[in-house]
Amino acid sequence: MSSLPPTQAVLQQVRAVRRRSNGHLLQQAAARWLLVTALAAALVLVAALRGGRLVFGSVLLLGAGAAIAVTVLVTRQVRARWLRARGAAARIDRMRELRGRLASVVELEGRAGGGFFELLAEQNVDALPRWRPEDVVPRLVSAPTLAAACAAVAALALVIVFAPWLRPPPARVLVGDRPMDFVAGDESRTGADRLLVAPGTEHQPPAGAPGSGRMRSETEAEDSTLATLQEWLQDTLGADEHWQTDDGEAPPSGSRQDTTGSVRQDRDPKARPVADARAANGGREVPGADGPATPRPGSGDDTTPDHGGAAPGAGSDTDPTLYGDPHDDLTAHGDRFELAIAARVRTRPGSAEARWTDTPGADASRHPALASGQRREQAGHRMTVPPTFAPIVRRLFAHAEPAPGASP
Amino acid sequence: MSVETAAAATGAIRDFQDTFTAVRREMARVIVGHDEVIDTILVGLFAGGHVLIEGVPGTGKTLIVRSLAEALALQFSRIQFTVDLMPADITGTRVVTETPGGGRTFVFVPGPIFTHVLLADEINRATPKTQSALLEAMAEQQVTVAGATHPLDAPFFVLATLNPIEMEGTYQLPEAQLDRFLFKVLLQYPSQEELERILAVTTGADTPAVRPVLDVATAPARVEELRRLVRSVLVAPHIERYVATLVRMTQPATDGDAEVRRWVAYGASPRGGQALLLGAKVHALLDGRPHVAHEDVDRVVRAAFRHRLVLTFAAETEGIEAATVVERVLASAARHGR
Repeated sequence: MSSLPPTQAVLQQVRAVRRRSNGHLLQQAAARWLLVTALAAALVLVAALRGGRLVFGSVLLLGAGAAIAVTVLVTRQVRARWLRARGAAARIDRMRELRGRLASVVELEGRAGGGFFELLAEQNVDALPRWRPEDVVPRLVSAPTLAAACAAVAALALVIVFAPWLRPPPARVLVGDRPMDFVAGDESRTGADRLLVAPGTEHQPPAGAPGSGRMRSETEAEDSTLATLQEWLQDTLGADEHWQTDDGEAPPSGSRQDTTGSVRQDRDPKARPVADARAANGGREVPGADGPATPRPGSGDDTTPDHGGAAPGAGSDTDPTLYGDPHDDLTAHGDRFELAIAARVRTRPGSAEARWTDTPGADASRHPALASGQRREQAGHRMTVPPTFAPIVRRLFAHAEPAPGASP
Repeated sequence: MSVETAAAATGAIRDFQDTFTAVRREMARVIVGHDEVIDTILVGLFAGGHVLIEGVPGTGKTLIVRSLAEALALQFSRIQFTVDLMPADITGTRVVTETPGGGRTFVFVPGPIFTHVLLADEINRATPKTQSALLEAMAEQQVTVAGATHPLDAPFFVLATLNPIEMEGTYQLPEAQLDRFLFKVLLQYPSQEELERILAVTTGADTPAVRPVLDVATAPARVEELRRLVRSVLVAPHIERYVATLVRMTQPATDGDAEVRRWVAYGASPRGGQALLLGAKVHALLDGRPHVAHEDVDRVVRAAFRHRLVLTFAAETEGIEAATVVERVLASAARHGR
């Protein structure tokens, strides 16, 4: 420092203080912003995972408001306290009670000379230790602010990590074998069997809820948006974990690979109420429901050649191409879809609630009546299966392993 | 006195401080109390202005001025202003004089204004015409008699007194003439302790006398040198902004304090700003600094603005004085971060 001219040494230290002050200001602002936004995000995620639509909406609104407010406040604070080059010397002068010495020498640099200015510069050099950067500006953000910000970030991280444990109760996979004359088509109308796989949960408004039709439609639109956002958050945070069957089966491994993919983001919310209504109806069709129809590629224009030999999938294993290659289409943009099948699905005898079980082998000697009424076996129609549902569907339709020693 | 180097500047500042302190000490030998008034008068002297003193009779106005002149070893004159005082009684006049050859010619006879320190006692008792003769000399540092201009010797320092009582038969100084005084100081009655000391000092057998601080032969030049030194003090732009802000805040036409606007009819002029800066420079030197700081300005703002504010009728009815307005202006400036 001694090699520098007096005024240059002073100006250099002013710049150092300015850099340090502005850096510290940014640290403080970032810590405060992080504290509020991380806390708000954690609360929103908890509400998305555990709360209902109303709670989630309220927390989302409050969280967004808090984030916007803290952003505005922090920005204004930074702008007000930002140490600009023009006013840096004056502010340091006031802070360290230099009695205008520093501000004067900086402002008069290059404009004044003579003995008085030299004396002023010397006095400033002598006073340099009084306002060293490390004394004027503390190095780090204050401990309480930093601790609070770290705690908020940790809370957010904990919410993300423990999201699978915070998930809502597992949804049910409803499987039914009742004929559902749903798909418009000549063949299916005669009694196509369908599966309704609906792992979602529908929150229906109370029956007597007030509101006109228009208001209701607006509310439904908002609910739909909120639901989409909430479910997207659940999916992003590991919502696939709760896509279980009633048997508590683990989620399909393949479904984890697409938790943030566009498939789930492009859901068509309008398709959900019908399917959910069916889900609530135990898989039976809901009168008046007009949901999206799943096309049945095999219903009439199936171009798959019939070679007259064994049907694909014959044997102990499920035909891997029974439903074609897993792929996505518009009909599968939801957390449920309808699987139309042509093969009859049997249920466990005596089961009031239709629960699927492996199709037992037809035994004409034990159940002649059943055997006589058995449909002629035919190949199932091909249809598209969303990738995330493919493991479930394959598991549902897997052939049971033949018991040891059982006759073929 | 050259201040081309830092060492020279340090020496010059110390010399100024020593001189000021010595004069102050000598005056204190005969004047009891009135410390602030004496300081303000000395600041006005070294700032190159003139000072208006307002005080009741018998409070030592004349003694202060005489002591100042004696301490500085400067010429001193006193004019007692009365209603029949004529301008020529102040400036001097031309008289017919017989030349050695027997002829007659007009010769200018300087009046009492041709001095270094002039006491204009009870200036408000003279007519405006006579007052203006003095005030012109104060501003121009010269007098013009019969078309001939006669410069006044430097330094020229006027101390005028005003008697706040016995206002009958007086002529209030117009604002334009008040503005020519750098400062106005108020001489209050002495306190109990000061009064006891005054009685003890002035009624004894040995009355104290003021010893000259400066050499008689070089005193005027020394005072002028110190005045030039004062003007060399550095003033940064932020101080100039502060002074300009203070001046403008006294003006009702600007967006200043609402109360100030309601109380003040006419605010301080640019001369008020000059008075602030010059007085602040003296205070900076007294503080050993080569530059002016905010507190230097604050120290002189009361004396510099007191006589420059013309208050409204509303202020008078509310009993608001100029000092109150100045305090309000200072507070407002402090709120705005100077």
